[in-house]
Amino acid sequence: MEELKRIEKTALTRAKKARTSQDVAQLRAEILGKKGALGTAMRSLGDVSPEERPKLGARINEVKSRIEEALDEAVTRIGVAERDSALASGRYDVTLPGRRMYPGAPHALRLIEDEVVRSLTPLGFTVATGPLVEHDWYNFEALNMPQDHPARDMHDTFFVGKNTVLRTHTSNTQIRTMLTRQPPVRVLAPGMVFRKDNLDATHSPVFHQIEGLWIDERATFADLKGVLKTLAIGLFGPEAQIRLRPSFFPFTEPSVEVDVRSPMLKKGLGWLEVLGAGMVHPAVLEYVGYDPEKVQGFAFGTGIERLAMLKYGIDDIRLLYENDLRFANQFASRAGS
Amino acid sequence: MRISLEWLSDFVEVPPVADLVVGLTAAGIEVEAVHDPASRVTGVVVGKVEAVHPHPKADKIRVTTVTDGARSYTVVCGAPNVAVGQHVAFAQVGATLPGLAISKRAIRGVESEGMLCGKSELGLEEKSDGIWVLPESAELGKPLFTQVPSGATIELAVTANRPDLLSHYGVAREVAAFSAKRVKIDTKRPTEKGAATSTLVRVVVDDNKACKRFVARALTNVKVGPSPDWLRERLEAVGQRSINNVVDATNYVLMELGQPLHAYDLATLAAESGLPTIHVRHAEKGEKLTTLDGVDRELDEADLVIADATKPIGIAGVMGGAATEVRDTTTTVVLEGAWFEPVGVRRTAKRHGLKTEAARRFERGADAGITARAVDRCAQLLAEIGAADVGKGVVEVAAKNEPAREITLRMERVGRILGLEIPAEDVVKLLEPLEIRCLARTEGVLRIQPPTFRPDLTIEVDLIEEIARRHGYDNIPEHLPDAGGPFKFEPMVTAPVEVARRTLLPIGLTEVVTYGFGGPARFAPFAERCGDPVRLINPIGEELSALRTTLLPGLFDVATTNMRQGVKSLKLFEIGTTFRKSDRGSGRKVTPIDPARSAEAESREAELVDERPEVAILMLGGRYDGRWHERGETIDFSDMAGVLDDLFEAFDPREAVVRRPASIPGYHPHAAAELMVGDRRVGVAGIVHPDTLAHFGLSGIVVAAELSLEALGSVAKRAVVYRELPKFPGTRRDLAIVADRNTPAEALRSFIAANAGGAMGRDVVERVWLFDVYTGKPIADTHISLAFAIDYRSRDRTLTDVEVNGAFEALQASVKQAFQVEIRG
Repeated sequence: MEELKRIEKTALTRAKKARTSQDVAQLRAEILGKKGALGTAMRSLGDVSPEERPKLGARINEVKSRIEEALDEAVTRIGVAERDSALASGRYDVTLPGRRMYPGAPHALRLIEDEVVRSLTPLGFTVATGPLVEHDWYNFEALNMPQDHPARDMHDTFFVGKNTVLRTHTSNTQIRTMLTRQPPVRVLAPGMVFRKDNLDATHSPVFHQIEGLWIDERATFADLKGVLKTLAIGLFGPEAQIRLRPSFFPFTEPSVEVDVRSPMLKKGLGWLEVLGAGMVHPAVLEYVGYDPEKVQGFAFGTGIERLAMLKYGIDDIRLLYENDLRFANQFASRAGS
Repeated sequence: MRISLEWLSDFVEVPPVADLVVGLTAAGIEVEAVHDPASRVTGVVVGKVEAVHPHPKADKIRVTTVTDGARSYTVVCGAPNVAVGQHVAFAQVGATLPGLAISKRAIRGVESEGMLCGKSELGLEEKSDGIWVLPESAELGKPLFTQVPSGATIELAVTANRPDLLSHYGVAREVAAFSAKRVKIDTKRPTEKGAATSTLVRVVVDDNKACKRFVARALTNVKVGPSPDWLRERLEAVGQRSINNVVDATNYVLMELGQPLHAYDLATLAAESGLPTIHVRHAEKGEKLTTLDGVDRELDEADLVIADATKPIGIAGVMGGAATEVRDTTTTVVLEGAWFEPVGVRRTAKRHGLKTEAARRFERGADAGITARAVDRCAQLLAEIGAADVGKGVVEVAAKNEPAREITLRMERVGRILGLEIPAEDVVKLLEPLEIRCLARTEGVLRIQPPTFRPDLTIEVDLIEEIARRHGYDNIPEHLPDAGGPFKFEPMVTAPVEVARRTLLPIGLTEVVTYGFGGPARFAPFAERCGDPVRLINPIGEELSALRTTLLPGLFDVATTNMRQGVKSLKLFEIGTTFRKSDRGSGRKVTPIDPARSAEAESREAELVDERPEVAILMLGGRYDGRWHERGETIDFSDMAGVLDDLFEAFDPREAVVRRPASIPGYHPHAAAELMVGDRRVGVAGIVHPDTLAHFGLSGIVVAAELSLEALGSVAKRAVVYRELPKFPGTRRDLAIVADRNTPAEALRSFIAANAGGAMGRDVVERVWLFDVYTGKPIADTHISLAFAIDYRSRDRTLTDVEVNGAFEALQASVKQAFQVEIRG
């Protein structure tokens, strides 16, 4: 009996002290194993009188189950500790930058072009394109600028052939669209254009325009104003205002210069000239085979570089063509890159 | 066009400058600049010099007493011309002048209470000799610029359609219209006391279409000399150089009325039957003329010239000849006022590279209604300043009077164009101040006569613009157009561009935009593939003279720019047009809605070039831009292959896009591919050839691709049809092949895919995919190990090991035989 007490005491003390699962396994073998202390005790039952035997047997079982309980407890305790220590060694620096594919930067000119397109497609416009090397007829003549028209002076033109030029505006697309489609016509024409200007902070021999054309049976000057206002708001925010000034383009009558003012733009800039527009000239409609007594409409056009420079506060047009990533990346949304 | 406000005030009451600018702007006349010295001057009044004493301590300066009418001041003055009794510009203490503030201060011991100003100190001229002596009419104590003109000018950007605004009188008409004032003009005729013009000169007009009107007036007893100050100052104020009184008078009238005039020395004109004769005719072959600018010019037979009996003496409407110009010795002059046809003048001016004030007006359309009056005005001016006697009458040759232009204006049309109903009586009232007259009015229709000075008003819609302009563009309502009617499908032509952009940006490529042209040498490395570039006839310079045949040079430049900034890793793309020479022209099919126009449309296309919308990609440097998780990996062809796969998938092609090994000029001979959809090449990709890189100052591994957006956009699309999920288990077999390095992996993969099914057929081969690539021991250097996984699955039963093993063994045998390869155990 004394021996039994001693075994229990030793076992419980050691179970409490056990630090690893190996400690527990060893203890379990020493105490509960076939050759363990309790087994020896069990086997000594044969030396005990038959009357004592059941009582002692019960005592042994009690001790055994208490030891088992203590060992289980130790296993649980050690398991938790070992998991905690494993977790501790798996510490991860959650502030490390993510492993990701950083998106590229869109080009400022494309952002503006997209804004124009997104502002106006809900009104019914689609996008059309036209060639960059263009026949004089599409670039000038059908736009009511026959040979020797003084307005041609405004277009310093690059010539490719006798009758072919690098288009000086995207208006060639208007002509091509009308020539090949029955009204109603509602298109936006973005693209690269060329003028024989030397490169400096505000001029570039290559630049981009986007134009709109709307032809149906009843589109009015008032409608043009509505579209221009929509565009101004799309580009320069809900507080944008427009001001129209009479002007002259050979392909529109009446013709308009459009000024915009918005709190979104740098303070103190006041009214800024951003667009040219007007009601499509009847002569243009006749050139493309429309009957100006039956259809009418409006057109407008703007320089994308100018809009980008105003909107983003860019003071040198060359930045848009150098593609320095330090510039380009300012138009990307890449937190933490 | 520079307008002097003082000059303008001859014809109309000029509103304050700010109001004038607003009014002109709203009328569509752009004010580019306002130059008003008065705006930079305060505290300067009219003073009168009462006494002038020497300065006690200095020889060159004087001490003056100046009154402003209320009290007297002591003012020290250094100007040599100061004298008692002069009215002067007196800057009082507290005055501000351009770059100068006036305070009380001692000058060599004498306290000065202000300053007497020269014009230069007031910002009116560059350099002045002494103080400005004002006219005696200037009232003492009044602010200076209320008493004398400040010389304020405005610079107008006059549009090509409004030649009438190239004169002070013309601008005055507009100012009068928007400020509801009357325009006034002096129509006094000159006092004629010289000999009759017709006894002195004869005029013969050969081509009365090119010259609708010619008015000649003789001046006798001419005394050529300097112009009076007021005339010279007015001319200088609008940027004209004073030459002599006769020439100045013609220029004065040009600036005042917009009518170009020319003065000939009558004595230099060759006579015909005893009378100096002026011919208006076309130049004859080989004729020459030295023009006023001293340039000897060969005349073209299309040039309209003014000639005397024997030779040209001027290019009509452009520039006079040197031999007949008015000089100091001139005593008789013939003044020419004419109307020349715009297109002819324009062509001639262009041909001779001459941009003159006269040509500028004629080529836009001079006012045929003012020719005679302008000649009279000039003669009268010269008589007034005592420079000449005016001869009796004029010699005038005019084409038969054309009936005055009339335009029918339908009120319905006004409303339909503007989106605004304006009653007819209001329309009439709006147009009247512009001298656009309503001749007759019937139900809803006006018969309108525009004035002779408005060549831009020819059709109904021109009048509608005038109505809108007078009504005010800001007063026209704002409305959204109605896109109503049945739905009409419009193809979105830019869809491929959008797909490319949408795909490439998120996977790390930055979009760049470069010039559509460049130096021809840039395209030389690609000439074999892309041909020689289309060249411009009139480039700015060699370096911008060739249209790009490929987008790559632009990308190389961007790479260079950024690498110079220390960038080590780049992923770029550009979407743009490339140009190819082509015998077929543009190759574009244009189908006008009117079939009668098809032939001309086709012939125009034949003159154009082949344009191709493309996307080009360039990548180089660290795979992860040197970020923390990069372990020295650099971008190689596989990165490009991945980008291309992403791009192709975005186009959703029905057929796989295959990279076919190929030798492509400009690219690495053994690391480049043609990108094929069936038999169609949609692009090329590869490692760029080191020689190509060297041409652009680059080196190392640069991968690039060029794709046709047209081809990508037009590939047949996949149609998604749902298939039932598989019900039966599948099984996998791995096949490691040791092959010669030149064996394309794709060739093996597709062979396996086609043959792995064996007797079971192709349908049971669900997928064949590469899971390992190995080089090195024990494999020979010339070889490579490629390990493929084959997923077998039937849609209608469970495959047995026996049949799969059978097929797999057969496959191994056929791969060995077909490719001469070993199978790894």
